[in-house]
Amino acid sequence: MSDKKTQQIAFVAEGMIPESPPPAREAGAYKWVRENLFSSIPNSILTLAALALIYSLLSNVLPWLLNGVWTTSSLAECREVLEGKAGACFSVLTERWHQLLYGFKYPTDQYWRPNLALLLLMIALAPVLFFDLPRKLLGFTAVYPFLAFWLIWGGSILVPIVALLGFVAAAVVFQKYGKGSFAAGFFGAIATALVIWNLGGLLIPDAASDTAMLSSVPSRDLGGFMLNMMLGVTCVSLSVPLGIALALGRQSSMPFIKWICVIFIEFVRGVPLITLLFVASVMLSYFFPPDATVDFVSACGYHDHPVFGGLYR
Amino acid sequence: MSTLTDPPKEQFRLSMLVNDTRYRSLTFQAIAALVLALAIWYLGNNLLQNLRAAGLNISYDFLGNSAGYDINQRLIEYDNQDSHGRAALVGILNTLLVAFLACITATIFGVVAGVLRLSNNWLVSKLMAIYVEVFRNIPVLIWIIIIFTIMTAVMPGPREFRRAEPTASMLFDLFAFTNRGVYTPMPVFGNGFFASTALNWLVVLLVLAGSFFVMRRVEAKATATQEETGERPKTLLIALAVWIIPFALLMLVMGLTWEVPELKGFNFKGGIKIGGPLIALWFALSIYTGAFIAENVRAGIQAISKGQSEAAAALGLRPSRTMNLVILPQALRVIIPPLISNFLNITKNSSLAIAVGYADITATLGGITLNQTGRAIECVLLLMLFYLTASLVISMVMNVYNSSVKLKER
Repeated sequence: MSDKKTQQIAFVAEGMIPESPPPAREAGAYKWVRENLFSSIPNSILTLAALALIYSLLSNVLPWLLNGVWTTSSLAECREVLEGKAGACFSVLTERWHQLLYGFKYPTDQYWRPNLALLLLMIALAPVLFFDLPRKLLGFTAVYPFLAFWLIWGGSILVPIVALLGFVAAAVVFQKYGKGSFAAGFFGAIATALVIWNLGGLLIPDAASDTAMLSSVPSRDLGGFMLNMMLGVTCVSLSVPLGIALALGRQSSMPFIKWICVIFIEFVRGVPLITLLFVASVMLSYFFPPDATVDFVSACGYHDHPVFGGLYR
Repeated sequence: MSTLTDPPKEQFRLSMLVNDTRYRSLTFQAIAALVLALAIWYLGNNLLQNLRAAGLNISYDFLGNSAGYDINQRLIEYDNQDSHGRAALVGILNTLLVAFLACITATIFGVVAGVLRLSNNWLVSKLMAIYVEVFRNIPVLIWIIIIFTIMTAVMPGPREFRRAEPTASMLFDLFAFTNRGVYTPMPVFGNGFFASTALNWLVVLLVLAGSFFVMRRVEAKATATQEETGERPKTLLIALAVWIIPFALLMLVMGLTWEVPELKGFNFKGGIKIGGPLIALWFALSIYTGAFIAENVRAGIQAISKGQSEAAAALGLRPSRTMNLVILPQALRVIIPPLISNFLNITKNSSLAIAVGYADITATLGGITLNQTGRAIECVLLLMLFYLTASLVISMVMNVYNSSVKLKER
């Protein structure tokens, strides 16, 4: 804006030219496509190759997927419906849906229990993931493992309560004595928990699980996605503290502790998971007293699995 | 008058074992040792008792007994009269074979996908992102089974090559792709130096290694000339001569012929058979691990600051030379350590071969041999020993390579 507006000079613009929109090829989708897909010849070739790949994948998979049959009761019927056209037979999924979710033998009328456990898992996880939620919810997170155990396995409610009591008492002891001397608190807590669990074990009557509110389901009847979920959650939550402990132990200045950790880590990392599972399934029975029951051994197998799995971090 | 006295000598008290940091670590280690010894004693005692009760003993004699089962994919001669030990050896070689092949292809897939994911082509980088996320978030066992199933379902069976109007034909009349595997021509030496095929191949390898070392000398000389005069002598023709002439002469002398697979009876005979399980396992392992390696490669390249490539461009280096001389040597330092653990993962994941019936060490020694002889403890111990050794050897070799590319501090 010149202050000598009145002065007129030939061939000089009088004012600013108004802003005009960018040329069509420098704006909008055209520009984006040109810059991101066809900026150079090799780039254009890559784009065309990628398009061809996507087309060949989709043209083969989509008809098979969209033509799928969901509601027939047998494979033969499914083939009849398809009449030789390409198409998936998804009926097996609808037919066996419950089996995929809960396994073969979980009692059908008890399906609400794992469902409820899954729902409660979300609530228990929420305060861990979102820090805006009230901190008191963490109390529920602490109780959740025992609640989930009771919901899924059923049986006497006394078992998870005794287990919970043991942990609570250990925490109280540690709070009280751990301030003065860490060792006193630590070993005192372990001793308290062991005493409570043993006493509780004596107190729970053997017949308690027969008259329980929730019918008892043995470990071998669990299966399907439910078992995956259980193993996954236990595995993640156990492996993190165990992994931290091992990593700290590896850095320790105490040579003996350090070497235990190093050997353990390198050993577990160096062999495939499947051989560790072999150990759990084939050899574990050799390592425990002959009078240990089958359920004990299988439970050990289940519980070792996530721990071993966890070391694969 | 003052007397000089030593500071009072501190008496050792029992409580110092817990409260004094000088002694506490000893206490903890003693407790750990005690717990470990007790656990080992408890488990070992149980093991001995259980073995005695079951009338078993620890013995490796079974390795010498006749195995009695067939293995259809093998690198060395084997039939069902051979010993369990030889079956285990076949398994070991099969494991090493698939691990070696998968390590190479996974690296290629990974590098290509990792570089393409950084491409400024939107479609390609998104496509690679989908590849990485889809493949690394589905367990490799499922990929092995999916690929094996698709391969058996889509590929033609051998009899489709036979019909009056064949619905399938061999590629160039040399390669046959069937649902049982791929048949390729096999090189045969008509008059080799030795009766044994392996020794003849060793000669071929030696000649190739010789060419390699001669080429290294040639390249070194060219580099010296370049540093002296500023001009690099052309070595392409020399390279061709050094690689091809000795090899071609050797092939002529040894009488190389190709044994082409032929359809005989219900199946192809002759040539090299790469069985379906091997292909499925190889492809699944490489495409799965490739997704992980792609992320490592991407991380490695992104770890190099953008200023480096801009500076290289300012010096007038072409993009390819910028990549080879500036970015990659620095990126390798970031890429190699996770690459080692990916190679270890391939070796360990190859134990999933049992899902598609590929006869690796887990399937022979840990599968059929274990079930036939009932020697669970011995078999599993041998298995673990093999995998541990393999893992340690791989990480040793890769660590040597790592120290050769890592930052040299002078």
